[in-house]
Parts: sequence; C-alpha cells; structure tokens
Amino acid sequence: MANSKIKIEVFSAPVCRKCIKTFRLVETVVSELQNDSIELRKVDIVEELDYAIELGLRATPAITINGKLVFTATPTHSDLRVAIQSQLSS
Amino acid sequence: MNLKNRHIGEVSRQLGMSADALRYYEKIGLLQGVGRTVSGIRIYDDKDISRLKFIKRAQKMDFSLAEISKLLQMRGDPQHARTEVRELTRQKLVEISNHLRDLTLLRDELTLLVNLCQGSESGCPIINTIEEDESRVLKS
Repeated sequence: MANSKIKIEVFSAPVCRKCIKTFRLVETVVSELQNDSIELRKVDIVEELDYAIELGLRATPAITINGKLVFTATPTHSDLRVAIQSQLSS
Repeated sequence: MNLKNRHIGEVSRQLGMSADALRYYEKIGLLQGVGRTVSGIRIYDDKDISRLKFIKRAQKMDFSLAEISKLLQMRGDPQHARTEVRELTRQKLVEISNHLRDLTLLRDELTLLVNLCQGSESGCPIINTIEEDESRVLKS
C-alpha cells in the first residue's frame, strides 16, 4: 500500500450537532487507521466561508479529502473508512 | 410572434415603466417608429415591447441611456454597427459577466448560510428534510 499524505477537513457550523457527531466519527476512523500520513482539520464554515464556497460546499456537515468534497452529510463508519483508505492507497 | 398592439397604459402596467418614461424614450430616440391610431394614440407592437424590455434590463445593470442607445443600435443591426458601438458592447459584456460572477458567488454564499445547521435537537432542520441520516457519497 502506498502511503500518500492526505488532508481531511470536516466543515462545521458553530451550533451544528451533526457536525460534532461527524467530526467525532472522523476522529475515530482516523485513530483506528493509525496512520501518520493523515492530517485532520476541523473547519468553522463561518470563519472560512470563502474557502467553503470555493470547494463547492452548500451545507454542513461536509467532509473533504485533499480538497475534494467527498461527503455532504455524516457518512457511515464504513463509507468513511473506505474513502480514506482509498486515498491512502492512491 | 404575437402581433397584438398595446396602448401606453397597458405597456406601462406590463413592464412596470411609467407612461412618461415610455414617451421620453420615444422622444430621445430609444424607441423609433412607435405606431399611432388614426386619432394619434400610441400603439406599441411586439418589437417595441422587446426593445423596452431590453432597455429595462440594461437599466437594471445601471447602463446610462446614452449607452443603451448605442447598444440598441448594435441590437438592431449588429453587422453594420460602428466600431465604437461594438467596443461598448464588448465592454458591457465584460461588466455583465463580472456582475454575474459576483451574483453567483453571493447566491452560493447565501445558499450555504441558509443551509447551516441551526443547533436544534435534531441537527440541521433544512438538510434533514432531504437526506435523513443517509450520507450521500459524491466521490469515492
């Protein structure tokens, strides 16, 4: 398996419960994968509105991997894991 | 094409332009050849309505009446328009494109803001109605 560096960003709003749930899920999956190549960042959409628009976001929560919008809502654990592993091996 | 002729009051109501404005546009040449009944009452045909709609759109873009007059020349006879008129048309096209880009960006920002989670117990009210708990995978 290749070991590409990947950047995961979870876009959330200040009072978004689903965003909190989504970020926790991503943290869990990243932790399970035990891979130092993964960089995880929580993005406050209000603080970085221009960046969010640039990436094509229209709602929260949303997850991007390497600058590409991958999930527009809370994914399942397995879908998220597959998406991250796919990026790690590419 | 509907060739129904309309009186000034009807055109005024339809387009949201005052009768005075319609008469003024004719006076300064933005509208030419507006028909008259035998008793001298103005009658507007589809071509006039089309020009008036163009004028209204151009005014919404804050184009001056002088500029609109030139654009109407281009609109009426694009192949024989003077260089100056062609250049103005190109310039206005750039302005409209920039404006459109700004509007698109603003629309996207407002869409995102409207869709932001509101912090209710159930999460994101707007989004929940369309997705429930299922996530949509855009790219794998």
